[in-house]
Amino acid sequence: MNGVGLVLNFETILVILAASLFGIFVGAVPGLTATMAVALLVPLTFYMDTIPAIAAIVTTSAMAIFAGDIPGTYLNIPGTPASAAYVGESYALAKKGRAREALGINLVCSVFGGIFGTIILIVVAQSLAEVALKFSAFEYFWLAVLGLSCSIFISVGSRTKAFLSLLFGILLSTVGLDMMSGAPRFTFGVPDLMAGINFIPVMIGMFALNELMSYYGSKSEKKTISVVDKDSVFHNVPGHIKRYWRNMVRGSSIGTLIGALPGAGADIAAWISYGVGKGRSKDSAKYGTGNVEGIVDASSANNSGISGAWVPALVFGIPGDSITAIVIGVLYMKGMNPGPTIFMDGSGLIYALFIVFILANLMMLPIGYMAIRLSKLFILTPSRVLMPIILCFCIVGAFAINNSVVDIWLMLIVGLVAYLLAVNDFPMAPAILGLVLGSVVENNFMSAMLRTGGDLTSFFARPISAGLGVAVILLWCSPLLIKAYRYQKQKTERASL
Amino acid sequence: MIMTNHSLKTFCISSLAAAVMAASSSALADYPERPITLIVPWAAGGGTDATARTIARALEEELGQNVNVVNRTGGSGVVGHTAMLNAAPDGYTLGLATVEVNTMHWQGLTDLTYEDFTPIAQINYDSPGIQVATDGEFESLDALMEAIRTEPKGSLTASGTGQGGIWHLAFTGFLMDQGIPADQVIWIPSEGSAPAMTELASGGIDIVSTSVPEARSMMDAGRVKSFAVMAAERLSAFPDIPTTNELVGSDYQVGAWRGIVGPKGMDPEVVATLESALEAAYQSDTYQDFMTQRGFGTEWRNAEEFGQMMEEMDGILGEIVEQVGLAN
Amino acid sequence: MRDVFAGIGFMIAGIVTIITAQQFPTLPSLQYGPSLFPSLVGGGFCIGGAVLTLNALWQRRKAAAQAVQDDPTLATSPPEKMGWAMVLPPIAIVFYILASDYLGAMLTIIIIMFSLMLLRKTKIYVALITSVVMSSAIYFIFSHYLLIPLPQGVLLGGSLPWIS
Repeated sequence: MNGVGLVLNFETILVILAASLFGIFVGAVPGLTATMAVALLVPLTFYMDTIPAIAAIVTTSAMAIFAGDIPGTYLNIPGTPASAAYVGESYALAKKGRAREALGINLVCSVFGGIFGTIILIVVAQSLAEVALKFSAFEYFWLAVLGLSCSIFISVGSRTKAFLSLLFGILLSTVGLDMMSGAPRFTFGVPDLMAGINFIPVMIGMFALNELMSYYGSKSEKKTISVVDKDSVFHNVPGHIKRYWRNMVRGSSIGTLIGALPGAGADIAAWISYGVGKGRSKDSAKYGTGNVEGIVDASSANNSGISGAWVPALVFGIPGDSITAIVIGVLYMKGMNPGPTIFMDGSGLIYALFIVFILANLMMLPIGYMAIRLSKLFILTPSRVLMPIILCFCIVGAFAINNSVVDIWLMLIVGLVAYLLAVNDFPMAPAILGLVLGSVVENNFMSAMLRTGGDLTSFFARPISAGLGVAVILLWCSPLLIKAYRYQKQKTERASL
Repeated sequence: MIMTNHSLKTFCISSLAAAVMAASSSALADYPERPITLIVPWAAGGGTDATARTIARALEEELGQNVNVVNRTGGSGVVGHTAMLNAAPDGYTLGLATVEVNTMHWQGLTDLTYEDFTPIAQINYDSPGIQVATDGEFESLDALMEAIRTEPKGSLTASGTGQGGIWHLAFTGFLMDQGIPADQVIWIPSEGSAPAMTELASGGIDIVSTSVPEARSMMDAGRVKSFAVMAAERLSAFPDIPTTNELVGSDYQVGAWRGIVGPKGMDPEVVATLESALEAAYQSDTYQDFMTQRGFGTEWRNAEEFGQMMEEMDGILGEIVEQVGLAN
Repeated sequence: MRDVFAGIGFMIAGIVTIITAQQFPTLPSLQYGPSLFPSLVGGGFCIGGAVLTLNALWQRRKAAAQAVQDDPTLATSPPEKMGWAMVLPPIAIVFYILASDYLGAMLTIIIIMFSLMLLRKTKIYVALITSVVMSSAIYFIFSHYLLIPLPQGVLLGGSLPWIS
C-alpha cells in the first residue's frame, strides 16, 4: 500500500485544505461554477506532483457542488443546476428557521454520496464503464426525456404551468448554432448568441433577479428567514439518517450510475433521484413544502454523480462531465494516461487517487460545517446591505462565465420574463432543466434519425433503449393508470357491498 | 535668411522626427509593459485550451509578463475569433486562432476571414486519422474503402466533429480524392471527439475521423483502431499507424492548424518581438514536452509562412465546403 | 383571470416561434431539420396556453356560480401590491452595462451598492464603508485571482493595478 504514503504527506494535506476553501467560495458565489474553478486550477497543477494536483481538483469540485446549496438555502438562489432540483425544498425549510438543519443533512448526504460513488469506482469501475459504453444516441435520448418528465412530475402546483416552464427552457436551449445542421437559430445577428445560452446567467436571472425585485418591490424590511436558536447543524442528522437511509443509498446508486454515463451528469442524476424519491415516498404530498426526504434524495445523488463521472474518464479516457474533461488533460500531462492500464501499472498511483477521493470527501465534513456556521452572515447582515452586494455579485458573475456583456443582458431579459412567470405561479426549476437537457434531447434525437433515415421504431430496437422508453411511457401514463386503478377498486368495493 | 529658414525647417523636422523615433522606440522597447490576454475560441479543458495555456506559460518566461488565457467559446469558434478581431491591435490582446478561420466564412456563419488577422506564428498541426471499432467488421483500410464504394449510399456513418467541422471536411475531402461522392457516407455531427468515440464503441456509428491523439485512450483500451493517418509521413508519437499515401497512394492532406494571431493592423515591430519570443517558447521544453506527452503534432511557421499557409488552406477548404453542400 | 392572459401570451409566443422556425434550413438527408424542435416547442406553447386559458375560464365560471351564493367581496384576494422600487435592480444592471466601460467595473459597483443602500435608509457611513470594501474585494478577487477581464474604465485610465 504505497498509495497511502503518496497521500499522507504535508503537501497533499495542505493542498486539500486550500482547495476546500477555494471550492467553498466558488460554489457559494452565484455565477462561479465548479468547472470554471477547476479550469483555473490547471495552470497551478503544472507546478504540482500528480497526487496533489488531482487532490486539488477533486476537493474543489466536491466542495463547490455542496457550497452551491448555501445561497440556495438562504437566498433561494441555487449555485448549480443540480441544486435547482431541490432549492424550493431547502428554502422552504430555511423559512421555517431550519436552514442549518437542511444544510447539515445536505452535507452529510453529500459526503455519503461522494464516498459511495468512490467505492463503486474502486470496486466495479471497469464493468460499470462497459455498461456506460453501451449507451448510444437512442439511450441518451430516452434518459434525457426521463429527466425532463421527472421535472414535471415532481413540480408542485399546476402541471400545465410546469410543462410551459419546461418548454420555455427548451426554447432557450435551441438558441445558437444548431449542432446538426450548423445553422444559426434565433441569434438575431448577435455573434455571441451563436454560442447558445449558458444556463448560469439564466439561472441568476430566474432566481436571483426575481428575489431582488420582490425585495425592492415590497416596502417592508422584514426578513423571510427567521433565526431559531435551537437550529443546529448536526443535531437532527442521526434521526434523519435512520429514517431515510434507504433514500441515501438509492440516491447515491442513481447518482453514480447516471454520473458514469458520458453526456449525462450530476444534474440529471439529482432530478431523477428526486423524482424517483417522490414517486416512491409514503408522504409524497410533502415534497416541495420543506421536506428533508427530498433533500436526501437529490443531494446524495449529485455528489455521487461527480464521483461516477470519473469511471469512464479513468477507464476509457472519455469524460463523464465537463470537470473530468479537464481532469483527463491533467492526467495526460502528468504521464498518467487514462485507460485500463491505469489500474494495473503497479505504481500505486491509482490507489493514491482513490484515497484522495475519500479524504477529500471526508474533509467536507469539518470545512462544510465551518461554512454553514459562517453562512449565518446571510441572516445577520441586514437585507438593505446584503441585497445590493448580491446584485453586484450577480452582475459580475454573469459576466465572468464567458467574459461577455451579452450574458449580463441575457440575465436581465430572462430575469424579467421569469419575474412575470413567477408572479403568475409558474415554477422556475423545470425551465432550468429544460435549458440544460433541451439540446441533449434534440441532438440525440436528430442524430438517431439521421443514421436510421428517420425510422422512429429504432428507439425501441436496442434493449436498453427499449427499457428506458417503456419507463418513460409508464411515467407519462402513471396518472391515468392510478386513476383507472382507483376507479376499478371503488367499483369492486361497491359491487361487494 | 533663406538659408536660416531652411536650416530651421530642417532642424525642426529632424528634431521632430527624432522625437517621434525616440517616443516610438521607447514605447516599443518597453513592449510588453503589462500583461497580455490570449483569447481561446474553445472551451476550457479541451486540446486547444491546453495548448494555449502551455504556450502562454512558455511565452511568459520569454516576455517577462503574464499571459492570461481567456476562453470565449461557442458558435463553432465564431464567438472567440470575432472577439480577437474586435480587440485593439496594440499587441496586448492576442488570439489562438484555429482552422475554423478557413471554414466558417464559407459556410456563411461570419464575415471574418484570415485577412482580418495579423498572423504571428503557427505552433501546431494535427493530421486526421481514420478510426474504426476494434470489434467492427472491417479489417483494413482497403476493406473499409471497398465497403464505402459498394454498399448503397448512406449505409455507413461517420462522426468526429460538428457539421462542417474540420474533421468532417477532411474526411469528405479524402473520399472525394478517392473518387467517391461526398454524400456516400452520412456524417453524424457530434460535439467533439469524445462523444463520437463513445458512439463508435457502442456501435452507433462505423467510422470516426479525428486527430489520432484524440483517439489515443480508446486505442490504448483496445476498443478502437486507427487504420491510417492523412499525413506526409508517419506521426512520431504513433509510428505504427501507416499514412494514407502508403496504403492507397493518396497525397491528399488537410488537417487542423493552430496559430497565434492578433487583430489586423498591428505594429510590425511588435509582431517581430512576439514572433521571436514565440519561436523561443515553441522550442522550450515546457511546450515541446507537453505536446509530446499529449501526442499533438508540432509544426512551426513564422508570420509570413503562416499567412501564406492560411491563404492556401482557405482555397482548398472552400472547395470542399462547396462540394459537401454546406456553402452559404 | 391572470392565467387567461398568461395562456393567451403563450399561444402568441408559440405561433411566433413556429413562424420563425420555418425559415431554418432542413438537413440534406431528412425532410426535417433544425426547425423541428422549435416548432414542437411552439406547438407545445399553443396547446399548454390553450389548456391554461380554458381551465382558468372554467374555474372562473365555477367561481362565479358559487359567488352568487357567497359574499362576492371574499371571492378574490388581491395580490400583494408591488412598489415602483422593484425596477431598481434592472435599472442598476443596465447602468452597469452602460457605464462600466467608462467608469470601470469597480467604481460602477461602488456607485450601485452605495446608492441602493442609501435608498433603504442605511446609515451613510455604513453604506460608504461596506460598498467600498465589498467592491474592492469583488474587483480584486475576480480580476486578480479568477483572471476575469473586468473593465478597468477609461476614466481612471488603467491607473488601477491590473491583473498580474
